[in-house]
Amino acid sequence: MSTLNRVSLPGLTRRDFLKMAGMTTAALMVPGFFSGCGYTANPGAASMSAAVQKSINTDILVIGGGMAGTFAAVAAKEQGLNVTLVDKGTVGRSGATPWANGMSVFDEALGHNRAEWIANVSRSSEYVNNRDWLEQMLDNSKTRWDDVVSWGMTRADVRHPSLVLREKLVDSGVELIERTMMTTLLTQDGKDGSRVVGAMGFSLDTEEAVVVLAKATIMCAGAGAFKAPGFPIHSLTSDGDAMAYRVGAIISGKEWIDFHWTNTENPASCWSQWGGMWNSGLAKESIVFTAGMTLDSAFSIHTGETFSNIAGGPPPGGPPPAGADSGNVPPGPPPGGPPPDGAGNADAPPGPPPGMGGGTRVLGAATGLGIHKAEGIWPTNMQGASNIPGLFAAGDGLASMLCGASYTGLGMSLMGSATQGYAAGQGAAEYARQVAAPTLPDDVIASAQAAMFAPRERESGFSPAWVTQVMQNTMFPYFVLLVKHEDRLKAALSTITFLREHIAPRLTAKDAHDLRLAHETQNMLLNAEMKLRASLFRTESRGTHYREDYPARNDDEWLAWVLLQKGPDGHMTVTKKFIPEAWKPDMSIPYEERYPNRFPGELEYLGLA
Amino acid sequence: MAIELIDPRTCIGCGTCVDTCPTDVIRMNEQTQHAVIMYPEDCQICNMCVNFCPVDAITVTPDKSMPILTAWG
Repeated sequence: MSTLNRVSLPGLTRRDFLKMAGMTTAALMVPGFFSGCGYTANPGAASMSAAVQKSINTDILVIGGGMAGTFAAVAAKEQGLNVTLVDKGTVGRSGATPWANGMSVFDEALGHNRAEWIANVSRSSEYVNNRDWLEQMLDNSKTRWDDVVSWGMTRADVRHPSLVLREKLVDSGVELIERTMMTTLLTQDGKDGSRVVGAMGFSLDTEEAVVVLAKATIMCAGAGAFKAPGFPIHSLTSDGDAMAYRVGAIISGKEWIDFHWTNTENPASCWSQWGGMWNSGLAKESIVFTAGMTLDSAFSIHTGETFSNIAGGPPPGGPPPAGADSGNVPPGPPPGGPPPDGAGNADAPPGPPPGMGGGTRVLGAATGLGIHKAEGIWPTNMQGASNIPGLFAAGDGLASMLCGASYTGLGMSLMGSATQGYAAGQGAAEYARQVAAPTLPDDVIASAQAAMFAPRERESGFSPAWVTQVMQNTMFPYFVLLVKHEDRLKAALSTITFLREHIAPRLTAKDAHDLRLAHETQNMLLNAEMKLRASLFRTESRGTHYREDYPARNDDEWLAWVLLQKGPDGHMTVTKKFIPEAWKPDMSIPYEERYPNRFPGELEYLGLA
Repeated sequence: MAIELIDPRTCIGCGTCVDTCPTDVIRMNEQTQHAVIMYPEDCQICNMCVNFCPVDAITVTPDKSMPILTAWG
């Protein structure tokens, strides 16, 4: 590294770089040799003007191959359309999918009561959920469960349930493009707010540009989070929200915050934490919480009270699915799941249950997670259409508000992805039948491609790993997103804005792997700005949004959703949209009963203490 | 730390681990036709490569430390 640092001078010539690139070819085969640093020369800088371009024309493009993307593709295929699905990894093995093991199934034959489910979800959501999307899940969950059973996901002899998704797509005739990161939504004439006509990305293996022109595009790229400093990223990087925001889509739910526990023994080991969920197989769930999850443990850190990791939250019995919120729930082993054979098992009390890591439970592995189904692209209809023609979304990248300010029931995330994916596939197919196949001028495509490959061509700049670490250090402390205050949110926003405006345009990438990191870093920076601006805007506390300076719910002002959108001048605009009158809580119920979970300082603030 | 070894004596070059790794840590060496660890700093210790390797060629340990990243050149 020191050699490179010395040659990182403004006067370095192109020839020097080529020479250096030759010298470092061998070095690049040494793992970790250039794992990242701050401002320096880009050892892999290369002209990408001659990059091979793979062009595909299809009816429906699905971005992301988890539960939502699979159902979206299958539903569109059932309508007789051509469907192409692009996955950053491989279907079923990227993102949260391998760890998702529970699907909420509403079944009146089993005694489930619709009115009770709706009431519980509303209360757990602190009333800012969307009942229409909940009704959609209640109406369709049984059918979607029957689908995954018929595909073989619950069969004992499958290698792993997540692999079944891929088999289903292949059997259905969906064209798969894997290990390919989509970076850019393409719009008609390259203008924001115009119809989305497909997307562009690049192959991790061949580094060729991949251009997919489609009559309709369904974003199913999942959610985002901030990992602890030093933790690898790659998943949960808000790619879908970022791509959609850049072309003018409305984004919502960014102020809700979930987090993940980890343990003092091997805290960065994903397998130690989540191996039990991998091993437990797919199962039905039917538990709906009567009160939402809380951030009590983060509050106890802040107030100096005895560390709390149990208070509030839903009943025990295992963490919610989708590799998801342990949040404040004590993460017990999944029902019936054997402990994993990896290291980190807890043998001795008072450690966590078997399969969930060893040592003492601590915050945290990740923060800034959205609430499942309550963050992402804002829908304009029940088929996940966005405000941008041709762009649909489903799953954890859709702000359906199936859940609201807090997570509300076991398995609702994975089932929500299934029901929403299916609806979006049908909606996109309907739209696609009404529009002509898009075309785009070569110069529009060339311009998007040049922007995508820019980090590969920069001869010096900042490594994605370093920028990510600075961002993690800014966003991760509990007192930024878990215990919020205007002063600290503004301080973090100042750093994030600087990183986004001044540092991100100088990110470098030495190869395709690094290019992926560069784009993920930019997406996370944009997500960080959204999280901070939405959190600043909501001047109350509700569910998983706690403002130390506004420590109580304010039903007059904030029975509302926060909407973010790129303004005409390029700056982020923040507005609110009130929930329908019919969904508001019964205001005759005393405040403390309306909202059973307490925030620090809340009752004093309200004069109720 | 994290992913430590893909044993070349055992690896059959099937590429399953390359497709499996969600963080693109593993690549195929086209000359040797063996999978190699290319980006160990991005290993998230999910063990999926271990779980899907058909010949048990991969060793992953649960410990991990932060890479040292210098702030500027």
